[in-house]
Amino acid sequence: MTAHNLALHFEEVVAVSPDAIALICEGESFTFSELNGSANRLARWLISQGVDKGAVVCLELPKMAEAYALAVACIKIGAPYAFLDPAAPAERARLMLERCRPALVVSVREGFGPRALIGDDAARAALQDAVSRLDDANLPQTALITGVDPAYVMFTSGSTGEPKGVVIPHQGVLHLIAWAKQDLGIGPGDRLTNVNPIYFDNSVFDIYAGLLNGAAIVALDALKGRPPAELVSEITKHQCTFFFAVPTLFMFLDSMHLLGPNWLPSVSRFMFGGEGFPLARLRRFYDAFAGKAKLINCYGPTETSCICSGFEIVESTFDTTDGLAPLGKLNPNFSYRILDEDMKPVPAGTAGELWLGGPGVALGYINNPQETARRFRQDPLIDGYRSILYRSGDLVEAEAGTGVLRFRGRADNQVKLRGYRVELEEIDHALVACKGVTRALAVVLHDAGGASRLLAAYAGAKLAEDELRQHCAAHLPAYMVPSRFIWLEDIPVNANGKADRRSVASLLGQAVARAS
Amino acid sequence: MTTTERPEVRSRMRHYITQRLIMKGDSSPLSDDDLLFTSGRLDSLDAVELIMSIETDYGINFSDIGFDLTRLDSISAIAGLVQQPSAEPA
Repeated sequence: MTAHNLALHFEEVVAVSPDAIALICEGESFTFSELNGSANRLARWLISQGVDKGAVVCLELPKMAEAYALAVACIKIGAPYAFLDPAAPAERARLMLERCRPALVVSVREGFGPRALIGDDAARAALQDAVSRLDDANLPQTALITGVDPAYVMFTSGSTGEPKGVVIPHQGVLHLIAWAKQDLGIGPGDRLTNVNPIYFDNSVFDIYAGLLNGAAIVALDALKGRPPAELVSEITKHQCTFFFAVPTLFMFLDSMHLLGPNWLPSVSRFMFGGEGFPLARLRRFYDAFAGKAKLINCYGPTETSCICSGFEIVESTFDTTDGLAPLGKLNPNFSYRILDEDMKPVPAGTAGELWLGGPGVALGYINNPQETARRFRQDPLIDGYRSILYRSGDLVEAEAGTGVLRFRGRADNQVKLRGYRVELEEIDHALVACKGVTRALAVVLHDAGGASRLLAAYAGAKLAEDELRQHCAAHLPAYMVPSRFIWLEDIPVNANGKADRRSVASLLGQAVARAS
Repeated sequence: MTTTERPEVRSRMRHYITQRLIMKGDSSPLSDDDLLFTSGRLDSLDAVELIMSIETDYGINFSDIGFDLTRLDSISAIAGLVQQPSAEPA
């Protein structure tokens, strides 16, 4: 494959295997030829709606066939798309849409911005009818899209109080696809689950590492109030060979006695990322599939086109006192530096902050030059020409000789909750917006098993926990709503006069224990 | 050794779980013996939260029980487990 953009790469796959299954969604199967034809028609429809190269399209959709076809349509035009959670609080959705300044929002609900609604069967049928009259041939202008043109925007939590949209270029995803083929062996004949939500970074891997390597993707919902045994049965029914999810989901299936080769016989590779996998729990997973399936731990901030390193779990992985699996070696085409607070390289064998470079790194945050300038900086060790590094905030240590990276914590207040990246300041901002609250601080408590719990302290008027919970639920996604809200006379500050998250965490730990 | 159940434990647990279900848009009736995780009404996100909540609220180390959620699959099961003599805080 020599394509210089995702759309041409996809069209090459279509030409090689037009009749192979590309997508299974809502009980229907679509071949590569059908998906391509549908995407070409939708691309022409998007153009008729005023979408052009460089314009942003927001896709506020659940996992429906149109969602995947529209994403492919957007990459064919060179219009970056942003998948947004159709169940996100309206206020948060508005913030994301305002940042995107979209030419069009395709959505299942009313809201901000110029939008096409496909929320019910009649609206879906009307769109299908309008689109069916359009030409299904590939678009000539696709060849003009370059590797550094934006492919998609993925929103993630922001420390300034609003989510920020990471802009990923075509070349970043092309490298992800090549890594998936070479290191994970993904190719025709494979079937990848798409259990990860489509507005969540991990789904980029499911969709592109699958489709653009000639494999099929199977759209599945993990969290829809369905019995977990149903999800497992569907994965087996569709003969999925590759299952990528957050450790929380695998631990949950294990706890429900559903994670074993008798339940998931078709899966030959499991991959997990987005948060650390406690080794004690990983051991059970590894033993259950010993010799029957590979387990891969992956790592990658959203800003590195989903994944920048992978590590296959082997017996010796457990010969460590770390508690978490290593992050692995960086994938080809990523470069890195481990720097101290003064942006100087740390001595070998010591922890420092990981800065990442190369073509897989994001272009920046959409319509947000301040945040972009803060996180994307000139490599301090290179003078005279442009060499941008992304500041990950992850503290890591590189193993001497092998280059395997090990996670050592965070340099800021970002936490991972069930695989979702959360900036605690975003929760602080949401709480302070609640009438009567003067100061607030969200903290995470960890238990010995590696599980974490989100709590919040606030000062000001004493309010009912339910009121605070409802306020947060109206402004934040469910995984960012603290489980407890504890009133404090005042929020403790450290020697620099800043709110002291560590001492608040300690206070809250004692407070919830006392309250029982 | 037998333990007399403290009704407030069961009612607190019922309140806690009902609140979580409402947050998820699930206001269907819930009896004490309805299955929570097997039915899919509570999910992987709720599991971590529930275990940590029991650990912090009752000072019990539940890390082993985290391996087997079928033992926490109803309000009755949770109330029983929290009040087992071996599960009492030191």
